[in-house]
Amino acid sequence: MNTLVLQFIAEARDYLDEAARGLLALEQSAHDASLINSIFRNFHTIKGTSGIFPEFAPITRLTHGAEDLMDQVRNGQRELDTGSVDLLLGVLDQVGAWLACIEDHEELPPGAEQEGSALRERLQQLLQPADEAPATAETTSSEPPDEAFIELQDWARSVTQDWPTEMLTLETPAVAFWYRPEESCFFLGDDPVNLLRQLPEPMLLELLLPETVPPLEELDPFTCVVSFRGVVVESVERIRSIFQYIPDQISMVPITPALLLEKSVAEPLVPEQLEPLWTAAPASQQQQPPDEPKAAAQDQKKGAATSFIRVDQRLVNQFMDLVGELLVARNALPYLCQRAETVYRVPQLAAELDGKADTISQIVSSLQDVALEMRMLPVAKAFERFPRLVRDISNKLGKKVNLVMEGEETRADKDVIEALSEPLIHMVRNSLDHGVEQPAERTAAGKQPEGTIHLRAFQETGSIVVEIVDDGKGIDPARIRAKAAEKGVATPETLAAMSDDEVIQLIFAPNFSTADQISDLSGRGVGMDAVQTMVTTFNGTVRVSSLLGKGSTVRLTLPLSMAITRLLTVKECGCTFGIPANDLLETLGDLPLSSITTLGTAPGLRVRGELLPLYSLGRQLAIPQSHAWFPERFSAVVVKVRGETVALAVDEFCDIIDAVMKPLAGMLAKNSFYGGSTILGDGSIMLLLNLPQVIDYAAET
Amino acid sequence: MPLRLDSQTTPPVLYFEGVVTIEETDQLLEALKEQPGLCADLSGCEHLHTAPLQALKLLKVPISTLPHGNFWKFCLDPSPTPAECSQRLIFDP
Repeated sequence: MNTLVLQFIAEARDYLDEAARGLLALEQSAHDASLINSIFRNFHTIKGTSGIFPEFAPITRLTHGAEDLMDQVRNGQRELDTGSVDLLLGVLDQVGAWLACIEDHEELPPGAEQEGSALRERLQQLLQPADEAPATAETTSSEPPDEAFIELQDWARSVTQDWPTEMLTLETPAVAFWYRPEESCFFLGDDPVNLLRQLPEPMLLELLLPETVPPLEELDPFTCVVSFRGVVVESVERIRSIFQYIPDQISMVPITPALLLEKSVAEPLVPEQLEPLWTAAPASQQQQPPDEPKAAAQDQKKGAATSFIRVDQRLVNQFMDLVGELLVARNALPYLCQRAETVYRVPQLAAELDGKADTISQIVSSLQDVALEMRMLPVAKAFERFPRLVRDISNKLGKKVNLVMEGEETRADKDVIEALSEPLIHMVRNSLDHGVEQPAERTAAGKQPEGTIHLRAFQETGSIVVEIVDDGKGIDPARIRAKAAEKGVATPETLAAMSDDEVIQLIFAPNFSTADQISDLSGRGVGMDAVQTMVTTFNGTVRVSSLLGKGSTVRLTLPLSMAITRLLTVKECGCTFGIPANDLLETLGDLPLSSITTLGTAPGLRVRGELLPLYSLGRQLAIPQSHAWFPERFSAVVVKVRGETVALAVDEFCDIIDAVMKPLAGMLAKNSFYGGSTILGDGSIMLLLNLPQVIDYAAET
Repeated sequence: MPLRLDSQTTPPVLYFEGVVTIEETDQLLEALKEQPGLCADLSGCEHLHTAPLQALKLLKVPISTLPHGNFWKFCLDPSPTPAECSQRLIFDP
C-alpha cells in the first residue's frame, strides 16, 4: 500500500483515539476549553489530511461536519449534551471502521457515501438551531476595514478594470481573496495549497513572496512565508466555510459594480455600497493573536518530531527475533568453553574464551533489554477503550457506574498488552452486567446509587497484574455450587469438600458457562472460560475473589514479556525440559525416598511443615523409561500451578537460562503438555513444560 | 519516492511524482545543495504541499514542466505584473 496512506491511517487512528478520550473527559468537565480545542483540532487534522486523498472524500466530509459542531461548542454557541457526544463518538467509530477497511482493501467500503451522509445529516440537524443566533452577532461588526482589506480592494479593482460587464452581473459574483497563512500553519497540520484547491479553479491566483529571501543555507522551509491572492467565482459564504477555522487569515472582496464605481479608496463609497463589502469580509479585520493551545500544539509537534520515530512493527519484530537468535548463540559459549577445557584440553583457550563470553553476554543482555523496551507499551493502551465501553453499556443498562483507572503507565510487552484487551473486555462487561446493581437495588442495600469499577494495573516480580474490582453484589457461592452440580462440572462430593473461594473459581471452568446462562446466573456469565484459556495460553493466571453483597475482584496476572522467557532447565529420564521461572517457588536437591509421605495412594512431600502433592515428571509425561515409583535419591521443584503449590520430582535440575521460545509445529503443537521449544547451547532441543496441563493430567489420572 | 534526482542530465533534473508532502521538503533542499543548478520537472506531480512549493519559489528553482492544471500554472509561473494579471484572467470559470 502507498506509504502515504499507511501514514495517514496510523496518524488518523491516533487522532480518533485522542478525540474519543477527549469527548469522554468532556462529559465530566463540560467547559474545559483546552479539551474542546483539542477535540476540534483532532477532527480538523483528520479532515485536512484525508483531503489529500480524493477517494477518501466521505472521511473529509464527515469530519468536516463534526468539526463544525465542535466549532460551535468552541465558540460557546452550544453545549455538548449526551446526545451530541454519542453522535460524535459515532462519527469516530465510523471513521475508525473506514480506516480498517482502507487498511484491508485499500479503499472505502461501497456504502461509505451513504453511511457518511446519514451521520452528516444528524450533525446538520444539531447544527441548525445554533447557526441562526450567532449570524446576526457576526454581521454587526462595524470595525473599519484594515490595510490588507483596502489593499485587496485596490488590487481587485486594478485587475478587473477591463472585465466585460457581464462578469459583474453573474448570479454568483466573483470574489477577490487574499489568504495569508499563519507562519506556523505547517505545524498545525495545515497545507494552504490543499485548502485553496478546495475552491473552484481560480480565475486568477498569485503567490506572493516576501521581499527578502534568505539564502538556501539559512532558509527555514517549515515557516510559511507565502500568501495567495486571487479571484474565484464562488459565494462568499462557501469561501468563508472553507476558511472557517482560520477566518483571521483570509480577506475577501466581492467584485461588484459598486466596487468598480470607485476609483480610489480616497473617495469612499456611499454606506449602502460599502456595506456588502464589509459584510463580505468581516472576520478578516480582526487580527487575533494565535491562541495558546495552537502554540502548545506546535511545541508539542516540534518536540515529538525529534523524540519519536514511527517504525514498521515488522522491523521491530525482526530485530527481536534476531536478538533471540543471538541469545541462543550466546548460550552456546559456556558449552564451548567447557568443551575447550575438558574435550580439547586447552585450558588457556578456555579461559580466554570464557572472558570473551562474559563480555558478549553483557552486551547481549543490554541488547535484550533494549529490544524488550522497544516493544513495551503502557497498559493505558489496553485501558483506553474502557471509559467508552463503561459509559455505553451502563447507559444501556440504566446503571450508574464510575470507572476509576489506576496504574495506566504500567508497561508490558506489546503482545501482552494486546492479549490483555479481550479478557479485560469480558470481565468489565461481566462486572457491569452482573456485578453492579441497578441504582434502586443499590440504594435499598444501603450503597451509593452509583457503582464503581476499579481497573488497576501494577507490576509484580516479572509479571503485570491487572485487577478489576467492583462494588456490586458479589458472587454467591451457593448459586455457583448449585449451577456446577447441575452442569456436572464437579461431583456433589467434590463440591462439598471445596471452600467457597475454590467454588467461585469454577466460573472459569470450561463447561460452566454457556450463552444461555447469561441472564439466570447471578454471578459472572459468558466467556469466563475463554478468559481462562487465553490467560493460560500466555502463561498467566486469573483468580476471582468475592464478598457477597460487597463486590468482586478479578485478578489477572500475565508475564511482562512473552518474547524472552526465563527458565529453569531440569533433566528427567535423560531429556531436558524447561520450567518457566515465574512458576517456580523453590528447588529441593538430593532428597531421600523417606522424605515422601503417602496420602492414601497419593505421594506427598512435606516442605517446611506443609504437605504438598508430589508428582513424578517422567510419569506425568508418560516417558517409557520413567521410574515406577521414585528413585532412592531425587530432586524436586516446588511450583505454583493455578494458585496451588505442588512438588514435581525430577532427576536433576540444571541452569536458569533466558530463552526465546518458538511455538511448536506439526504433531507436537497438539500436545498441550508443552508450551514451546528452544535450542540449547549444545544444539539440543528443549521443550518448555506447560505445568497446568501436566499437573491437570496428574489430577485426572 | 515522490522526489527523484537525475544528475546524469545537463542540467540535472529533479522529478516530482505523485503526492509531494511536507516530508519531502528536506530532501528537496538537500538536492538543491548537492546540485545548485538543477531544474524541476513536475509533470508527474499530483499534489505539492505548500512547504516544498514555497521552497521552489523562494529559491527560484527553474521549472521545466508544470503539473497539469491552471492552479499550478498560477502558483508556479513567475508572478505576473498587474497588467499581465488582467490579461491572464480566465473568463470561462
